[in-house]
Amino acid sequence: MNPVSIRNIAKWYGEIAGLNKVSLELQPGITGLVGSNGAGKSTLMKILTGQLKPSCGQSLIYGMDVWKTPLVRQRLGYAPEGDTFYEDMTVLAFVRAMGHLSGLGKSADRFAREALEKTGAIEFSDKRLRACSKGMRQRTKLAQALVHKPDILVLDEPLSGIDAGGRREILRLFEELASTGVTLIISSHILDEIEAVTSRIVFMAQGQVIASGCLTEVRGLLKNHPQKLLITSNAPRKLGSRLLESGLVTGVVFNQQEAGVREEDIVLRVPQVERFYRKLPDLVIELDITIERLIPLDSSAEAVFGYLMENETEGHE
Amino acid sequence: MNSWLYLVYFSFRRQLRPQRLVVSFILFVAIALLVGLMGLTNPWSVQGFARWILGLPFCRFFLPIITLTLGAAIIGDDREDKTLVYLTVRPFSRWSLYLAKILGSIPLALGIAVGAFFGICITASICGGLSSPLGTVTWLFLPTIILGTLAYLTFFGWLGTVFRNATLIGIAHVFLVELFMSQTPGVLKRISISFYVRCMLYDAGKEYGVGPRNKVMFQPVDGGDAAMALIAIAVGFLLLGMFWFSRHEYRDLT
Repeated sequence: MNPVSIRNIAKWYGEIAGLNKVSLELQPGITGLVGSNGAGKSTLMKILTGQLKPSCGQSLIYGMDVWKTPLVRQRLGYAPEGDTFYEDMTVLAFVRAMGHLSGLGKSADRFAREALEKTGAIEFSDKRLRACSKGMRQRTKLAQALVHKPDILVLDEPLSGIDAGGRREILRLFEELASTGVTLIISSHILDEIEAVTSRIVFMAQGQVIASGCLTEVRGLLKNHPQKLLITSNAPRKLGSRLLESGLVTGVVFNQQEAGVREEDIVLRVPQVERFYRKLPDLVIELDITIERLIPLDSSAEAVFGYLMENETEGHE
Repeated sequence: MNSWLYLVYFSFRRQLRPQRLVVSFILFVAIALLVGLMGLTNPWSVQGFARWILGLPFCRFFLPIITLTLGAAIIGDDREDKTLVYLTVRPFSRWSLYLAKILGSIPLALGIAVGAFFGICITASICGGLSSPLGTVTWLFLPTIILGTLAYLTFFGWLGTVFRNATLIGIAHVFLVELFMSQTPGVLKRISISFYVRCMLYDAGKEYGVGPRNKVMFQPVDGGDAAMALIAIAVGFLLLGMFWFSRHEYRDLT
């Protein structure tokens, strides 16, 4: 049984569709949730955590409807996007209280300290929340989500407001949790960082899932956007013309003015990347050249998201 | 169960905000001063004390206002501060969450109401030489104060779950319904909680001559019926609040 199963969910706010026919099956590990503002990420997360009731469809946690079965929320941790707290409480008191509310009883204090240790918030655990910086508050929010050691963590923009060093620490923590079998669903607008910890991404736009799966698979499916590959060899012109002749590429650009592109580099537009990779070694032997480097230029989450959005816009036009 | 009991305690602690206690204290001091000054000029009789203090400023203004500040805050504070999300994501059904929050508010509401009631009774006894022993008077009217507090609290609690600006609506209700409408002749006043509180009050003190100035115009109901009405209001609005909260989505949680 998948930890998270979202079946045909729609959420209407009057005449506006917040979510439309969303279906997802999520497995342990990290899943990134990517989309621009208003794409439906937060609505999906709120439905997933039982904050909102779907207009139709079901949101299941270990096979149980999260809206109808409150007890299943014991297995769920949620860090909302909003920067709101019980401001007069200290960091430790807040996380401990959340532990008590999650059913930890007498162990709440120990678990709270552990969670604060993990998120790097233990140093300021005696500080009142109203006196904490944005970064400290983000760490506290994370600590309250994982205080009861949930099996599923839903984190809405958990990295915002945290400095670069802190982000690395938090991402390491996510990887650590994922390696112990926790299911993490993370929404973030910092796509590079999501990509650093997972290749499993759900792309959302206008209340719908426009693509989901492994990033390279999703990229491969974007047929109308041939992949850009940068290739450095000792005979760029010879290689370029041979590749065009073979039909493996639809375009070759020399001297492309782009960051990181050198004079001897060529940028290829490759419609079928797998076929290209299969045939390239034969061509190299045939031409008797050497390849110094081969870098995909637009297979990052950000680039893929850009293409998906382009497709969406074209589709609507 | 432990986590739910903790939620009751947590809700109680959240209600202990200094501003709220200060409002109650200021109102109490104002009524106590009134009791003291009036008692010094003209010693209190049970009848006068019940009619001019308990029946008017205490039950129709002090009780509604303090229960409004507490009741509207039961859900309203968390909505306003956007902290409700930390509670609704925990393993409680919505109705039990609401119940815990109400139960967490009851000790404070009763504490303030009963404490203030004892306070003004003592003031009346010291400054105005209340004509009957202090203990007799306080025990006589205590059930009315308790039931009135519970009825008001659950009503304002429900109001807080339904409206975002429940405090403003509550203030309008206190002035229009509890103060003004409860004075009008006819049966319209029966929609106010204060009507039943006063009926119970008059019934409790009838052997001391406590009663409405104009019985024909006031048309009181029997004390037992008034008590039943207050219990029904308290239980009814508690259930209504639980039902409403369990069905309602708060999109502004975060």
